[in-house]
Amino acid sequence: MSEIVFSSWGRKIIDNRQGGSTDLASLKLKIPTEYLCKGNVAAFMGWDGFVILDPKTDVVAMAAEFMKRVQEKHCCGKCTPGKKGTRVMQDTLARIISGKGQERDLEILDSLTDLMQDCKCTLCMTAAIPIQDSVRYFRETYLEYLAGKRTPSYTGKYIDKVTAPCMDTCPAHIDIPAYIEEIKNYRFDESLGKIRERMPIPAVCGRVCPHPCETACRRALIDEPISIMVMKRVASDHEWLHHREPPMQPKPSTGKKVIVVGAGPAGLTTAYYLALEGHSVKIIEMLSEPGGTVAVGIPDYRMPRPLLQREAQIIQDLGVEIEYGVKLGRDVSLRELKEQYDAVFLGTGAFKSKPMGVEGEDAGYEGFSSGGINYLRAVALGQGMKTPKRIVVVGGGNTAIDCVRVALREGAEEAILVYRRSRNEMPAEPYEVDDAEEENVRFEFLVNPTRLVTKDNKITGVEVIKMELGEADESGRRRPQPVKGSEYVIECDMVIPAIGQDPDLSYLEDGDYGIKQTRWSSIVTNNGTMMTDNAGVFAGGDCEYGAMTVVLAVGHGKRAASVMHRYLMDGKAMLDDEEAMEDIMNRLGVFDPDEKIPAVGGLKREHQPKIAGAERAKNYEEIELAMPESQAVVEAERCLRCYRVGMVALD
Amino acid sequence: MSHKAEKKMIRLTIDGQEVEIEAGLPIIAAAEKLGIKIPTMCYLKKVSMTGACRVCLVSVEGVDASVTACNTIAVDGIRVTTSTPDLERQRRDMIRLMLINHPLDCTVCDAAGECDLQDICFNHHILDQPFKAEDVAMPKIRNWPLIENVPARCILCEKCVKVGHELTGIGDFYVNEFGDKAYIERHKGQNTIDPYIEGNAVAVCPVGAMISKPFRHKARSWTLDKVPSLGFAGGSLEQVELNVKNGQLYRITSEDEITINNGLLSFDSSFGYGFVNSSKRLGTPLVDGAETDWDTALNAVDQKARSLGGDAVAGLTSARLTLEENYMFQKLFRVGYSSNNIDSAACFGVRAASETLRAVLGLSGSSAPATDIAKADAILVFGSDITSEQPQINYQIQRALRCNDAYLCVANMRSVRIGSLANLRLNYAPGTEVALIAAITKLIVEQGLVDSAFVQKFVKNDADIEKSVSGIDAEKIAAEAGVDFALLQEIAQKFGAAQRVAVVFGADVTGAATVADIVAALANFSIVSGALRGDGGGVFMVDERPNTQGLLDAGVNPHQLPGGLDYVSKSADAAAIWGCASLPQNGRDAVQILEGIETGDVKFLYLAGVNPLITYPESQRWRAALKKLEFLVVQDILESELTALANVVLPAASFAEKTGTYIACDNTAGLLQQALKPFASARADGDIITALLGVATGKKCNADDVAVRNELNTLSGLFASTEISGAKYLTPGSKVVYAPAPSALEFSEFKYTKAVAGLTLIVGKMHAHTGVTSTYASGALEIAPQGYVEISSEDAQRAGVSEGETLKVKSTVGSLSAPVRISPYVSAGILFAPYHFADINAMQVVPIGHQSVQVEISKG
Repeated sequence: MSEIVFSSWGRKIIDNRQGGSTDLASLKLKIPTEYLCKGNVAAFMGWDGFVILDPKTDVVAMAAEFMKRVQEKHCCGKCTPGKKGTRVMQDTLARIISGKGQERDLEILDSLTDLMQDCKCTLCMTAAIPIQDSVRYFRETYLEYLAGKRTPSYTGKYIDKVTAPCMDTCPAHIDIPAYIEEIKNYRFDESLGKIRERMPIPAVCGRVCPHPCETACRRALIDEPISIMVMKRVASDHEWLHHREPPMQPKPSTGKKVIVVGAGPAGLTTAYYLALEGHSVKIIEMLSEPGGTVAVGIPDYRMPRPLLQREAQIIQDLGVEIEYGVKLGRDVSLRELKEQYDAVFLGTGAFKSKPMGVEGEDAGYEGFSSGGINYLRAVALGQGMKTPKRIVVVGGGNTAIDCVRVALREGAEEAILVYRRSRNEMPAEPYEVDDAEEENVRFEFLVNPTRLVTKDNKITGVEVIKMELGEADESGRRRPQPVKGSEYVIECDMVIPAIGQDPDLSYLEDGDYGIKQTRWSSIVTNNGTMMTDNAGVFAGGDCEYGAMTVVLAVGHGKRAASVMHRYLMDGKAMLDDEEAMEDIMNRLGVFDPDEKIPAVGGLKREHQPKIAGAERAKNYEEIELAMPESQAVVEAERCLRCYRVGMVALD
Repeated sequence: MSHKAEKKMIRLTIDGQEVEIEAGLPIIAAAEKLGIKIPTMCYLKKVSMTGACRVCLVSVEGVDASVTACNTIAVDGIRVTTSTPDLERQRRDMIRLMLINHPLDCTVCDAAGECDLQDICFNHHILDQPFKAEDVAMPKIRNWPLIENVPARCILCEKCVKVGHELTGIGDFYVNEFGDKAYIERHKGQNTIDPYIEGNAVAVCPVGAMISKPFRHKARSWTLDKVPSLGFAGGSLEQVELNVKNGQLYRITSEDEITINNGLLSFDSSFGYGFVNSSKRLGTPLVDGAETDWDTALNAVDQKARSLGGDAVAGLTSARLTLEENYMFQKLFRVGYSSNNIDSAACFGVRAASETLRAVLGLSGSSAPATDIAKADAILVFGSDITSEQPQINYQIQRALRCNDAYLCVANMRSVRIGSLANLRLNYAPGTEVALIAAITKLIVEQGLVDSAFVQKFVKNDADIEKSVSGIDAEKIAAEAGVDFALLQEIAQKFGAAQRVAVVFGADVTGAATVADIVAALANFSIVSGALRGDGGGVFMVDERPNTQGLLDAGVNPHQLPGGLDYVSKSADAAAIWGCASLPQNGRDAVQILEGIETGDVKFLYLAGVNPLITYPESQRWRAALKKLEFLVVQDILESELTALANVVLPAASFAEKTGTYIACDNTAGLLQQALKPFASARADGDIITALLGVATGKKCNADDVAVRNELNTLSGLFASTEISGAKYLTPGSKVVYAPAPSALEFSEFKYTKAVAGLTLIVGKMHAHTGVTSTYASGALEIAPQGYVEISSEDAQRAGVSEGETLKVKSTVGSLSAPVRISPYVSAGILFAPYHFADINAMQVVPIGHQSVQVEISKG
């Protein structure tokens, strides 16, 4: 069924009821044709209309069910048209399908939809849209009901889900509008409670998240996006700054034992949610402290480690044991873990630096770092890393930026960042680039290293070649090309390549585990369950995806814990409806950057205060200061609460 | 740090008129400035934006849909239209939606006549209802104390939710359920020991959903006269309207914006006023138990008092009498009866606290108006259950938290209500107060966070500070007190760095045996933390009674004349003004009066609004002493054990039945205004006292408040101005504002005490009651009908008592039996008992000079 029978999505009417065909793939909305292994998708009803794939779909019955769920399950009741209007719509539709409706009921549905455009948030407001569409385009069906000529015939299943563009875009799918609203209402603890439903390390993600959610913020369409990440920090800091004990209590013990490999964001998250379910969880960690790449890859001036350690401690307080200094493949094998535990989660990260591909890279020169991530780790763990006077860091990502800024704090007199494209193409967060500049980091854009310059087996410089930007590549960025004969040498005492990391999966080499890997050596898991082909072995975070973000690792960890719980209790590694719908929504594309929003804009977003000036590069004190709560409330008031409900009908 | 300093002005146009407002305000605020009224049901200026009713729709040029004026922030240059046919149609439909299944019970709804829904329907001519839906509203909730919730009438504006959470810190309510079933519920797992009921929820409810049970079906709102006056607990910090009819007080309300309290009511004003209408009110003078007329009663008092005269005569008064009344009380004794044996409960610590502040900081009570607390960015609440002791001070603290991002440290022996909002709770052990304050003070000095310019200018021994703290071992003190040292460092860092510091202390300090040492220590802390700079914050001595400062200012104690003047050196001046040759010498304070009665030297005692049998320490000793008296005069509003003992009973007027000045703990003065005629033949305390002075001196005395205040001021210079001001709520003038003089402050030596070993019983106020009068109010009794002792589960287990069983508590001066309440709010080693109740009479185990006492407990 990849043909559209009818679509009102976005008020672009496709009507093939009387013949004609439209390929589903042509629709902007990416509707799946199958739902788990439970059936085919017959129709989708949601915030911007509805789409029918199965001609047998009873649109009126679906509308009645949709509105019932909106009113009874999702409407918060906190505005008049939402609370009362959806109730009237629910009852009116119920009356119609029970054969007791009247023609004026159709006018009520139509006019209420207009009135509901004045709702406080978009949940009920948008939920009325498909109802109005159904009245307009399926009037004959309604009239048949009114005339008593029709009764609901559909016996399939409906599955609904609330989402919002931000929460859909967030890899951890945090209920962002809910936690922002709690802040608006000065309920910081409740806000944190909402965050913790999906994210156990909010102090981290309130500070160093690249916040993809903010790129899907509808507020940006009228002025600027909500400062979603900082709101998370405000909620998290509130508990910490008030010396409050977190309220979470684990469920009674299930007797199941789980081992988590790696105390990074993915591992900690998995452990947290499994522990809450009552499972006995142990984490093994090769480093001497928790946090993984967050701890040793993100400098303290961005992410103070005591806060990360507080979050790890909260997880340990739920009964999770962490054993440090144990490395998978070195101290213990995956086979042994499989034997000793009921399930295994691999959250081993990606910390193998990618080679630059220049001459002399593996010659073992003094002053040549094995990689930015290793440099940062050695500094963080106090492993006697000496930073010389002039250093060159190669790369344009966050790790490269962190390296130059850390080098300055470690006593370097000059820190130079070398990047083969221009500033605009840098994958690092723009504010971090600005911050580095403020700290007197020197940038050399549009140059690429070609050769290491050495004397007596010691780095004395790096030869680079000038680049120019050509055509766009598959990432959309213009591809840099060398300018022939433009080589020159930058003198330095140390070169740190920071051009990316890959997972180190050597621990899979000691046996035939049947775990598939991608060609960029990351672990393959199946259908959003996070389970590998080896039953009972799950994986998530950088080792599954390749070096990515903290929040993605958290999302993986949460999903893995949820599926692992089902696996442990029922032996089945399955998604539930909520998760299946989460993935479906994610594919649909909830954020519409072309939407015209009828609201008054013109409010700038609030910024947290910050320590300014190059002076700050002398220490590791946190640079971004806490946003005062009263300011956070002002920022939270800008949120448009862009909830929306979607529902699929299965055949 | 507050970003609010950056606020700029913006201009917008509403209905063709241009208006300039502060950035960050909603459109409705701009409209209000222009005098344009946009209809709304849910907008409440004093809480965060809600946007629930969706009635205040307006259109903004260039925006395709209507927007709500109450929660759309106005931005520069927008053009707003508040009324068009389309907006009016939507508005009427919104109201119709709100009316779906709204019960047609206006006939019996208490909100009738002051219901915003009635008004808005009327104003918008809502005559029909096109919408219908199944009625899924929750049934009435009748099992909450004091408030009945009628979800069917609720429009879910969330005002009740927000007033509690955002303004009073007593967040009682939340929205439960989804869709049309959504309704207001109370939080589960609340404090069952001391359940706080947010009376302000009733006050802000725009409809009849939140109903005060004491007021339910008592009167139609439009038949009530509203008389502006002061709350009987909050005093001049709580400007209220007394709602009266036919000689009864029906309820107490307040108004937003024009009152100092911004419409917020104390528990007492919301629910505890019932004593005014009590059937136990005294209405006729009694002599030896027989009803009589005023002249006979007054002559009996006069004859006895003057025939005994001098040292045999004594009088005790209270902070529930006005400034003028207490002034006349001391004059009556000093001039009329040649006796300087006069005092009040201030003897048991409050005066010592006040005198210490005067000695080291030059203060007369608190250093700044309470509204300065709201400007503070760090607040220390030391030894006070502030939410109970003085709700209006609590409200100022809440403002500082929400509007000014203030840091709050709550130091207490118990878990008090406001502690749940604190950044840091310092649970100290009895006896460690001075040491902990010393440790924090030392750390502030050590971290170099003292404002040295201020200290050099204003502290006379500023050079001694460093030396004085150098010997303090903060780490050792922390260890001995069982407090994490890092917490003390945090407090020092926060208060040292804060620009505006408020130090608030209450009953646990003023009642402590070492009150002077603790207050001196807090004064030192105030000096180094900058609490006395006078640019926000300050030092605040809090007391539960409405006129404690007025009582102190009236000079009702043997050592002082009005205005805190020294009795010995200034008595000639006073005598001159009072037209008598000289004033009596010496004089007994409350403790010495008790001793005098016991030795038989004091034979005559006059009690004005005070019941030592319940509210004074060693109350059993007072009971025995009172029986020994030759003559007891009781001037009070309610019948009690005390009135049964009295030779003469003088029925007094309640706060609602008289005029006069209350001076709040922050030195703010306010005028009580008379809303009711005194009950039966009762008279205002001031009238009674003045009449007695007239009889005694044979001269007609002027009882007029203004005349009394002028006389008081001639003597004391207490008021900077005695002009009555205020459009509706009146102020009798203002006291001299405190500003430290150069080199006037003194940094005193810290006087340590040791932590007290064993079980400590703290006797104090619980929030629903105030003094003894509230035990005659049904509202207060619904929360706490009788006395009890709070005990930790550990101590209860050790004593072998379970919830509700009787516990015997024994101290060196007495013992009591009370039902126990096993409580998470006291830790092992601490017991708490409220003092208000005659049944357990907790003060009988409290030795004079203490408020907490070492006790032994056993199952009773």
